[in-house]
Amino acid sequence: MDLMRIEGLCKTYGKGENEVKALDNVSFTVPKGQMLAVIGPSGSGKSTMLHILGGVDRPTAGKVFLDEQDVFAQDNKNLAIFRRRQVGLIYQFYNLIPVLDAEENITLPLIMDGRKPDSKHLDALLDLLQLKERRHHLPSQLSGGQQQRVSIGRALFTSPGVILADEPTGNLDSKNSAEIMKLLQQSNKEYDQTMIIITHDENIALQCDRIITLSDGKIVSDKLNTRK
Amino acid sequence: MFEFLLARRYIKTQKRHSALTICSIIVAVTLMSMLFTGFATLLGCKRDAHYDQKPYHMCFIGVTYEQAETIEKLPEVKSYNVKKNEVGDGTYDVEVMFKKNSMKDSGAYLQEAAREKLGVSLQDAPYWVSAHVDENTELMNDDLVDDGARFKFVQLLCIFYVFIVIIALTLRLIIDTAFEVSSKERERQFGLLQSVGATPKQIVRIMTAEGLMLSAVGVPIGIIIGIGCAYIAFKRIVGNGLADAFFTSDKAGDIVRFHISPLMLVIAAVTGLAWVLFSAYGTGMRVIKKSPVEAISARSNTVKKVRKHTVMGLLFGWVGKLTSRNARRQKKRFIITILSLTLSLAMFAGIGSVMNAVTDAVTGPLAEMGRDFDMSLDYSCFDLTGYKKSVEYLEKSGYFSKYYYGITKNAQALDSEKRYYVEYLSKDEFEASTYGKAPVTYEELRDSGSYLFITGADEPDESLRELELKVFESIASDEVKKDFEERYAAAMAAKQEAEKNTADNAGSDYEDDDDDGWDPYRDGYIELVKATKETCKQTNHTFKIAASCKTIKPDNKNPFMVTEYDYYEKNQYKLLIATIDQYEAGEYKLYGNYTSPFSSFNVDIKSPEVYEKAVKYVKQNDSIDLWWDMFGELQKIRTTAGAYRIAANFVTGLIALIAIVNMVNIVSTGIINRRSELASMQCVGMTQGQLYKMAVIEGLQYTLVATVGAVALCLLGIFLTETLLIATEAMPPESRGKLLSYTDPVWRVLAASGFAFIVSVLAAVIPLRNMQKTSLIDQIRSVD
Repeated sequence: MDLMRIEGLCKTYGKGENEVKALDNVSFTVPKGQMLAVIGPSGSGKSTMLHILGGVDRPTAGKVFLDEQDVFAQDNKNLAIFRRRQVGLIYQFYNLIPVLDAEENITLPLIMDGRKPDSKHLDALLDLLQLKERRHHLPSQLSGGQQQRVSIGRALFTSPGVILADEPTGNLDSKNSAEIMKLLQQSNKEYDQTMIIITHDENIALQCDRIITLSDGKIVSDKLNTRK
Repeated sequence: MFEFLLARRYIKTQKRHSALTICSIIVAVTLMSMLFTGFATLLGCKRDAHYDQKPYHMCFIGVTYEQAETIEKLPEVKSYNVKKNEVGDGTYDVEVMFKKNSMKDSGAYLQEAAREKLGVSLQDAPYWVSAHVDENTELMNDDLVDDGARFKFVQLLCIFYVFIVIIALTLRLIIDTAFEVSSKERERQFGLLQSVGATPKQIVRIMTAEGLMLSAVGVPIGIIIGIGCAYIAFKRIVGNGLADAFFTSDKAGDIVRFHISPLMLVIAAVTGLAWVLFSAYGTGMRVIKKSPVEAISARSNTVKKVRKHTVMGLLFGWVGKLTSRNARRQKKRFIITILSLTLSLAMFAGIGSVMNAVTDAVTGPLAEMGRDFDMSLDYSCFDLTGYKKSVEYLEKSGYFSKYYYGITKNAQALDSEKRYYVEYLSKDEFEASTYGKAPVTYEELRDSGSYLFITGADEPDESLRELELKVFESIASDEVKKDFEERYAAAMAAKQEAEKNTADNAGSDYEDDDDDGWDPYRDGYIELVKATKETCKQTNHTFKIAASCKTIKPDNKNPFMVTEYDYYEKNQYKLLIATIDQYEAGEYKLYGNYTSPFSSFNVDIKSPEVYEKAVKYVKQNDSIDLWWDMFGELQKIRTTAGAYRIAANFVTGLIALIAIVNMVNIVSTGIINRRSELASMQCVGMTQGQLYKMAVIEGLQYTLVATVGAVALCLLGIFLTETLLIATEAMPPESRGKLLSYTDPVWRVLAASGFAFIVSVLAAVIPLRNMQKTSLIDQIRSVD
């Protein structure tokens, strides 16, 4: 069963002569539990697509369905709640809140939802992320790899159906990159989470179940990874 | 110079930041020029008010034609106005305005001029001056006529400049913030410049050049807007009737005028420019502290330490926690903003309350006493009805509307030592002193020739209709009377001689002091009473009582005010009141042919317009002395209080404006600087409602802290003021909490805090709304 359905997604920036089509009629589906890599050259529309899938940006045209629910039929408040509960976003530059420590950053979506974090679940996640010793450290006191792990923890903590990662290893060295990928794969398997990962790194793409290639805002290739 | 070239490019390319910096310079210079223009206006209004009261530096009253001509020709005189004296005795009044810096000491000048130019003898000069010259000292101080005035002006300027420096330091924060925001965004560019060979000095020069160029636009605009704002503020003050309330009401429109001082504006411009250059230089110095590598790779807003538990967190949950942690990211600016906000709230409330208390203290006792008079006069008379001449003299002028006076005598019960006071009152005095509560009217008493019996006893004796008492007849024998008059005349001559010598030796006006010599006013009276007592006879007299009542007190009586009736009541004296008509009709004979030689009475002037003429008229009569010019003093107090109130309101408004600008600055730049973070939070599920809630709590945080601080400051200030007053015995300990209200400033602080809260919320909400116009992705990327 398809968890996500994307239909005729278009995103245009500017007007008239300055009009740029970041996404041009993109359609595809993503089954539950699939680990999907989106690759393509710079400016091909990868990040734009990821942000639209995550409900962070609205498309110029087209629709996104998650569990058969039209994501953009919701008003801004419900879209924010959708981001909080149904998707987990991971950024290349982590985008952590500098005044909150690692634990507070991880639990932030749940706290914003007015819920109390489950301490056992939190401990297990911190264990998985190898952040138990660093749970009360501020982002400025953490290394790049640790910050990205906090960012992943924030995306995973509410156990959303979809994890969207925008170049999650783009800012890390190879050792840290490998650790992060291992973590994402572990989460994908353990929690049966659907993952869409944007990357430039062919090695990372090859660790995914399916690879979509974008160019000039269009899908130029959509293949299952048989080498995995 | 490449620094200027780069600075110009930055200004052109970073239009938003340049505009923000120019706006900040404009705001700071505007406030500065408002302050200086306000000061110039205050000085001008003060001077005009003093001129309005008396349109001269000195007025020579009742001088001869020759003397008037000499006065006109004095080299120190700038202008003069000669009028015929109203008494019609052929003398003149000369109103004189002196040149600036024309004398060393006005007192010494007058003595010298009287002796050397106006032909007054050395001995008579001090008396001639005090009798014939009315000095407008305040106006002479305003116009810097003598050295003393210049010294006072320099003192005032010094106080003002100390204040200006404090204000200017706060204003610098506004400019600092603008440069800081601008430089933060360009840290990476400065790092790059350094990496390709720019020296730290050159980086500082770029910032300074930018400051200079932006000042060229901001400072002149700030000056113009400052004058405009000061004018609008001035018009508002005048329009709201503040000036009318505190300056002489009928002429307020003429007195309170807007004043612009070019010198003050130049000082404002130079101060503004200096602060811009200091801020630009300081920002440049901060920028070069980072190494090029740090600058290029720096990520904004790194936080190294946070407080785990905060009050805001406890009150408002995670939003409150985020708010207080964010505030601590800009600790220095947060503290300065809170301090200026606290100070402005406390000043707003404190000044309002103190001014109210001062006004109440001045006007309250009179209102509470139910008594009001414009002048208190002393007159000398040596016979039982001598006062009538003075009253007739005053009535003839037509300047006075009411006459409050009375004659007090003593009587004693036949069968005991119990004392009675017998008062014969004028109609106005009777009505004023019984506060309209007397059980009989003046006319009833007069027509029946009877007395009103007032007693401190709880239950007045209603059955009392006649009372036989022995009257202390103040009858002195002819020998005693003659002896006293001779002694009195001799003592007066000796005293005058002594005073002349003192004045000559000191070279200045004679000032009466408590010497140990025989004082005809003080000791003479005691001797006369003693002498009359020794020879006095006692006559039995039956007082016909028209009505009796308990001691009469005014409504809303001030508990600190002790009236003569309180004294009677406390000492269980009994009072018999009759009309002055009875006294004049013949009852004075009861008390013999000789009475106390000095007495006083109070009068009301017909209208404020005749005040000056009335003063001159009184001064012309040698046997009447104006010893308490209540109308003039109240007018002076109101003028001064009005001027200080306007100045205080202006200063408070200015500090409040600075506080508000700082708060708007810190809140809005805080939001703008955190746009990436805020967008990140929205990306992980924060709703716009939660975002606005955070903005509201952020505003609340400032106002809450400042409100608590301001209330504490006000209460502490009142407590310390009262403690000081009690310690210096200026206030009785039981008056604590009654002179200055502890609740009044609290309400004022709360009202002002409400306004500050609304402003702070707007300062957060407006940039948030603007940010919502761009996508979350753009907001996140704006820093990355």
